[in-house]
Amino acid sequence: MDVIFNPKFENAMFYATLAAYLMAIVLNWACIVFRSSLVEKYRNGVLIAAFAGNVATILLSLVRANALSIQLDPFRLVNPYQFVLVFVACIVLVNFGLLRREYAHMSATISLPIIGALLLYVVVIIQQPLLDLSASMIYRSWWLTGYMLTTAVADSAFAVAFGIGIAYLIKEYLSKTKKRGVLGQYLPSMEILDELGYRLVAFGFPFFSLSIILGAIWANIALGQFWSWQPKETWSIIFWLAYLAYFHVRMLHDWRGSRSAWMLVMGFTAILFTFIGISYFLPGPAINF
Amino acid sequence: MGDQLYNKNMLRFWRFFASMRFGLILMFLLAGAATLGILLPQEITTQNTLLGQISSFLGLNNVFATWWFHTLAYLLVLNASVCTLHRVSAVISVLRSPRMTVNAYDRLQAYQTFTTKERQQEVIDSFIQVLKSNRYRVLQSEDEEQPQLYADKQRLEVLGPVVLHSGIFILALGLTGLSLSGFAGTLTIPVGSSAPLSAMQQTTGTVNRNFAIRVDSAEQLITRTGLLNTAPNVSILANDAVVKTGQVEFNAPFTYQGVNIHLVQFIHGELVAVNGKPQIIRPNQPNYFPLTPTNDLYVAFTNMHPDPNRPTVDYMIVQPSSPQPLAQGSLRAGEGENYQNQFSFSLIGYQGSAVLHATSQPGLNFVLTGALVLLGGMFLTLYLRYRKIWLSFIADGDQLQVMAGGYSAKERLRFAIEFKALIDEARSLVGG
Repeated sequence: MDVIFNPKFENAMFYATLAAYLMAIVLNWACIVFRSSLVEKYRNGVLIAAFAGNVATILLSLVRANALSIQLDPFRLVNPYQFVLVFVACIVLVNFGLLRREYAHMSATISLPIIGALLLYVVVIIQQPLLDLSASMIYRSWWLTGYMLTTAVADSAFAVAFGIGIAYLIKEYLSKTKKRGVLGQYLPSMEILDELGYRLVAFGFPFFSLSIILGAIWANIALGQFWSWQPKETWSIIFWLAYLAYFHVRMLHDWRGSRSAWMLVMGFTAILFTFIGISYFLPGPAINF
Repeated sequence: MGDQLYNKNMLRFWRFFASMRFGLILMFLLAGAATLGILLPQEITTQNTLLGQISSFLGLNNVFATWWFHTLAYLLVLNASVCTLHRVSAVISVLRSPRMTVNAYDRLQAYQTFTTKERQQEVIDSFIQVLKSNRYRVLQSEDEEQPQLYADKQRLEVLGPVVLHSGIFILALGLTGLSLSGFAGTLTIPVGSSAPLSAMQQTTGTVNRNFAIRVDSAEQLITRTGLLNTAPNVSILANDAVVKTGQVEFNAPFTYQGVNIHLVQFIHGELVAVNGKPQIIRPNQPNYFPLTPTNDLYVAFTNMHPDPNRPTVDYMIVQPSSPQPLAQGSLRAGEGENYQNQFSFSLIGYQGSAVLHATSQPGLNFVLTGALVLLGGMFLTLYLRYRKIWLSFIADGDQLQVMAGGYSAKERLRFAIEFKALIDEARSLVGG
């Protein structure tokens, strides 16, 4: 039983998960090139193992954090490390839960590298929280946990939509230049990609709105003010307005095609900047998730 | 003529405010303004440079508090509200009496036609059965010569934008109430001391409550990770009498007379008294306090040794106009100085202080209700897909021609697949 509470065990599980995801990225690309059912089987197996490892790492971190502060409050997400783990798991769930199988593997060619990059971000940048789950008492709140979960669901939908947007732009380029190639055959039609992108953003947007509301409620309870125009708060409202404008433009001007795809690509890039970049590039205090 | 022109202009004005285009422009402007607020250094105050003057005039050093930012936000709320009023009757009529018939089936998004030798009523019944089993609402026209069916699903989607915009309106009402009648501010109170609410710092709004908060004691829990969880016991004093006692914890505010008192931080440091007023001093902080009411004499505390058992601190008495201190020395716990027999300061000891944030938010329930309504509207708008199907049955000799058409504003490819599956299912029942 003690092994569960040992940070080294959780650490090993985290690195095994990272390795499995990285392997899944390679195998997924190999599937496109070789079109072999054997490679597909390996990819599916590795992906399932990676996801299981991901869920196990989340549970381990929660159990360990719970054991560390059992007299205070149980099972709450408290730091950016846990957020990234949940975010990554949500990307897999949204990718394979919302999309049909053939489209899911197609979009995974881009969403899996995002997962790899996020986990490497944990290793290279966050580092310490991998072992240290202590956090200021102010972060130990169900409202904040709700905020983190809804943000993870919303961001993961935007991440998969980002992959679809990239796929659309590649498909468009290939059809304009009349090149088919391996990718041209692999990618579905532009109409399908456009609709998939919209469906993902439409799925994620209410969760994004809910996350803003939950974050504001937490800030009000913890800090006594629900909105203070901090950079992360302000960026989130900017994205909210931008996505709201996207839905209106799509309705008003039937905005489809490459403009819509660019919106998906830029939207998620900006969200990633808000998540990672603000803490490093802009002055002032910022919450890291 | 004059009345007509006036009405025409009013209509044009109304339509402009109700338009999605106007809303879009406002959204982009607001997003741009908020981006400015983040990217521009908000502390530009110098009037000497051109940039400083422009910045000062436009309020770029505090974008989110400027009149034009608030105007943009309220215009967006106005746009959403007018848009709702403008469309509400159309939405109700769509919900109550949808367009039952169409003429040009081949112009619809999804279209199929086929002939069958089955009896008309059996074909109609089969279609009704298939549509109802797929959770469509089915309505039948009363035209006996050329019967038509209308079916729709998830029609509440059309209500979504109305609900969403209403949410924005309620939210804005609540926020206006908050900004007009609420207040917020911070108090740092050492354990054993009290402070009136009116002494709050960094205050917004007008403090209209007349009570004091006393921090009686502070219970400390230390977790296995060394995490400190401090829960100060506080008393509310009105006219020097205790009217309420309780505990304030992180994420668990204490409430009195609609004022929420939050624990933001619990700090430990050396406690000094300047002219009888307790102040916590900590390393790497600007620990200077005015000695005189006119702020021309300050006492600055330096070189503190925050040893809980034997705290000491150095002090200097300074004038803002002079670089040299007027007096300096060192204090141990319990020691004090009386400068010019008028101004006193002393080191009380090492103590904990609660940093409390007090807020009065009378419109908060409106804000939360607005947010929930907005969210409900969003789920209706984005998670429902209003689809409509029309069917026309035309007798042609011993055969029956069936024309089917369908429309969905969202996810057309998905609807096309669904439409085809529905018609195929019905055709498998009637043949043809």
